[in-house]
This record gives sequence, C-alpha cells and structure tokens, in this order.
Amino acid sequence: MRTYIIRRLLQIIPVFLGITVILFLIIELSPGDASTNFIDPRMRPEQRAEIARRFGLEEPAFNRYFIWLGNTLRGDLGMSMRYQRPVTEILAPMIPTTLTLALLAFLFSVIIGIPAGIISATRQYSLADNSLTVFSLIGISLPSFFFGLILLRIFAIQMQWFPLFGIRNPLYAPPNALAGAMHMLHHLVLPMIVLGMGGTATFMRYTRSSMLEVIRSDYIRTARAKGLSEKVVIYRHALRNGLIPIITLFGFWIPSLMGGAVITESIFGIPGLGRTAIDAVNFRDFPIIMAVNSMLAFLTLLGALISDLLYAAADPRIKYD
Amino acid sequence: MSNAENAVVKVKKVKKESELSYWGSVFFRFRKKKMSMFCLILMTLIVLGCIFVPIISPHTITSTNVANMNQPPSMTHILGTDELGRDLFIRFFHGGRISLGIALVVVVIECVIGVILGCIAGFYGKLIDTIIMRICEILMSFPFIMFCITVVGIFGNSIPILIFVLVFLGWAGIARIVRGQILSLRELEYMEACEALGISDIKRIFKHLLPNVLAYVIVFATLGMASVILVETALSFLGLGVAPPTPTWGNMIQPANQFIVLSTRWWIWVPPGVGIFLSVMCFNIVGDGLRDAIDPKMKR
Repeated sequence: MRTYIIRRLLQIIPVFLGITVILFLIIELSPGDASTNFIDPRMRPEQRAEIARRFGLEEPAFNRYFIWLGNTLRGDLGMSMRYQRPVTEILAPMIPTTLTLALLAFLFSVIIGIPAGIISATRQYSLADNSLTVFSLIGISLPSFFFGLILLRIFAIQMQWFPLFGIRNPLYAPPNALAGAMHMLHHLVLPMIVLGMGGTATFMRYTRSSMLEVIRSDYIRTARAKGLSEKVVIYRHALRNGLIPIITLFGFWIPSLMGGAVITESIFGIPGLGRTAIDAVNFRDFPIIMAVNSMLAFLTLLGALISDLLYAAADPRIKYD
Repeated sequence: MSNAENAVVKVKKVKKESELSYWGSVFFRFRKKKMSMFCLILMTLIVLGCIFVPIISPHTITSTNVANMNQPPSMTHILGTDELGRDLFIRFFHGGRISLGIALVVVVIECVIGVILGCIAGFYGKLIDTIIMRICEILMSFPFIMFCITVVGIFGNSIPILIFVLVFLGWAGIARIVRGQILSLRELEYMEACEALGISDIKRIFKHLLPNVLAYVIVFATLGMASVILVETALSFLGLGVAPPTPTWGNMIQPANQFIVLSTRWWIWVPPGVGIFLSVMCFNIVGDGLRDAIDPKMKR
C-alpha cells in the first residue's frame, strides 16, 4: 500500500508539469499581455523596455517558465500584473469563500443524492423510483446558470426569501460571530443548491445502479434467507458494498465542483476564486491565470488520487502492489 | 384476447428480432423504451426547427426596430422582441442552429481524432501506447471549465477558438474508450486469422476492429453532444464563448444579468434556457437508451 501511494504521488509530477507547460505555451502564444494595457503607442523604446522589465518579461519564454516553476514550488506565485500585489495575497481571501461554497454543495449532494438513490433502488419501478429518476435526469440536463437564474427569479425577486447578490450585506454589522456565519449561510443557500444540483443527480444515479447490482448478489439472498429484516439487509449488508463506487466518485467530483463554482460565483456575484479568475482572464493578468489554473489542475490530480486511496480503504478486496 | 394469443404475438416478436441485422436489432430494442423514442422524436423536431424556421420566417435575425423594443409575445412576434426590437422567435431557432452546430462539429472532430489515436494506441501498444495514453491523462486532468475560459478569454471570443479548445480537451475520453476495446479485441482469434491472411495493419484496424467499437463511439458521441452544448452555452453566457450579435442559446440568456430583464421580461431569457434544457435532456436520454439497446447485458 505504501509503495503504491508513493508511486501514485510520483506519477502526478509529470502530469502536473505537462499541464503547466501547455498552459504556459498557450499564454506565450497569445497576442498581448497585461503590460499592453500600460503601453502607449507614443512611448519611447526605453520606456517600453522598462515596462517589460517591471513585469518580468525581459527574459526568453523558456527561462521564464523555469523561473515561474521555481518560484511556485517555493510558494511564490508572482506579482499580479493588474494590482501590482503578490498573487498569493490576492487569492488568499478568496479561497475560504470558494471552499465553503464547494463544501456546502458537496454536503448537499451527498445528503440528498445518496438516500434518494437508495430509495430508488430498493423500490425499483415504483412511483417513487420513477419520479426520482426523472428528477435526476432533469438535474443532469438543466444548465446550472439557467437554474440559478430561475431560483433567483422565484426565491430572491418574487418571494424575497434570499438575497440577490454577494455573500454579505455591507450595511449589516453582525452582533457576534454566529450571526455573521448565519448571515453568510443565508447568502449561500441558493448558490449551494445550484452548485450541488449536478452532484445530487449524479450521486443518485450511481447509488441506484450500484445498489441494484448489490441487491441482486448471492450474499444478499443468503441474508434474506436467514430471515433478517429488510432494514438490516439493506442498511447493514447491501449498503456497505453498494457505496464503494460512490466513494470513488467523491474524489473525481472535486474538479467538477471547482469548475461549477466558477459559473455559480459569477451568477450570484460571490467574490471567490472563480470570479477573480474570470476578471484576470479579461485583463490578461497572467500570473493569476497561471496560479488559478495550476491550483485547479493540482486539485483534479489530488481528487483522482484520493479516489484511488478511498477505494482501497473502503474495499479490502482491492490489493495494490 | 387470451393469454395464449399474447404468447404467440410475443414469440413472433422475438423471432423477428433474431432475424434482424445488428443495427436493426439495436433499433428494435431501442424502440421498446417509450421515453427514448419520445426524446428521439423531440430531438428531431428541435433540429428540423433550427434548420427550417430561419429559412421560412418573415423576420431576420439582425433587423432591429426601435419602435418595437421589449415587446411581450404576440401574434406577429411569437416569442416577443428583445432590447433592440429583434424578433426572438427566429433568434431562438438561429441560436439553436449555432449551439447545436458547434456541438456537432466538436463531437465529430473529437470522435475522429479520438478513434484514430485510440486505435493506434490499442493496436500497436508499447511505446506509442504509453505516449498517447500519457497525453490523454494530462488532458483529462486539465481543469476543464477554467481552461476553456482561459483560452477563449486570451485569444478572443470566436467560434473556431471555442471549437478548438473543446476538441483539444475532449478527444482523450473517446480515445481511452476505443483503446480499451481494441486491446481486448486484438487478442481474439479472428484477428489472428487476419494476421495469417496477411491483411495490412490499416485494413485490420479500420475494417475488422473499428466496426466492433463503433457502437461505443456512437453512444459517446450522443452523450458528448449533451455535455458540449452545456459547456458552450455556459461559456457564451459568461461572455467567453460566442460573441453577440451572433445568437446562441447561451449568450441569449446573458441579458438576464440585468435586474429589469430577470424580473420582468421572462420571454427574453426563459425560451433559450428551455431550448438548452430540452436538447441536452434528449441527447442524454437517447444516449442512455442507445447504450442499453447496444449492450443488452447492461439492461436492467
């Protein structure tokens, strides 16, 4: 097991380097960069050189990649071209917001999706199963930004149950930390539902098909033949094996959550990583773009690794060497 | 109707299926699911509408009319008009043309690339397999949405760039599926016979191996249409896909970012959303139905 983990960790390195090289190439091939925004056609050549120097653009691209890589490994993500502040300083306050949103959405998906899948599987072809299946199809097919707009229209504008925008009201001063957290949670209810919808539907579909498979296996028939109650058979015997594929899905779900967060944050005006990244793209602020992309790529790789490890931990039949 | 008569009918049907060709029996099984059939028909209607409505409509997509802005649906303008007085009914179908068209082009190109590289990797194995699969692994670890946003944002909103980035990241999925299938097919006896007969590699791959993986490719392509439509419309909605005035279902929803449109002018942003939803759902259900029909072992 330990050699397996080490080998998998080592495999991540070339893939991660490959991604950063491709990203760097694409940025290199692009017309113009953030320094273009500061260049005036009437400037003298030495003034332009000065701007290039200030943005660290005077080295050839090949060298700059290795400079970037070295600095990143030391935790220095460079200076934002737009704000002239370290990228880490700009992104640090965004990360907790995005992570909170992603975690809430994930919990929402798990708490709703898995029980719904179990109900579906244990009552195959019943009314409950059919309607849940339809719901999951809708959940997979509804574009998240459209779903978000519908929720805003109904629950924020019509009913006024939830706020329309952002994560806190600037005019509201919470009396204590708990009230502040509740205030933020209230803002995050709709984004959580939008971001969690796809996961809910996916977890439900996977739980249903995996439970159906397990329920038809021999050991479940044995358990029933022993005269165990249906509850014990399903929740004690079937569920343990039925959930193994779902556990592997958790790791793979991390990149989808982060990708979805980009869209969700821009609909609901949440100041998180996604919105910052879109702003950075529009301004060609390459250090921020590189940082966010590599961070998300790293999370994707980490997710795949976590999946494999969880799989091994959950299923003792799986042996790695 | 007696039970015996029913049984006879059933036997007849079963006999009929066994007489059908491979694809004939796939369609026979597909047709038995009402939901899949219904979605196939709905999908065909949407596609036909997108092709023909812009041709026969009296309005054009660009003709603006300042005297006729933000009108709710009426007899002359079935889905109303937008903030420039353009007819939204024809823009809806024209947007569908662009959204579905982009998805089709992306899926076809990524299937061609993915199938060729997947076949090569699976057939030849060894070093070339390792290289292709390692590239696939890198591409599949890309942060999908963020990377699309980055590329489109940097190189500018244009349809070719959007297609390029979606294909660039998309072909790895089908390449892996094809490679896996070829790996197991390669070991079968008929391939040994091919080798003994001295058939060339290219003929062995494309004439003897490929037909056996075609079913998987078709299922992948159908489900792929659904996911490409979702990504393209999301990017266009964010302003990082197809740029206005070219309508797509994605950028037609963009005006809903304004409070006034979201709260009072539903006819501007709801129909394109419904268009996306319906076509994505149809492709998903048809894809699922095809998978069950092609691989009866999977059927429950």
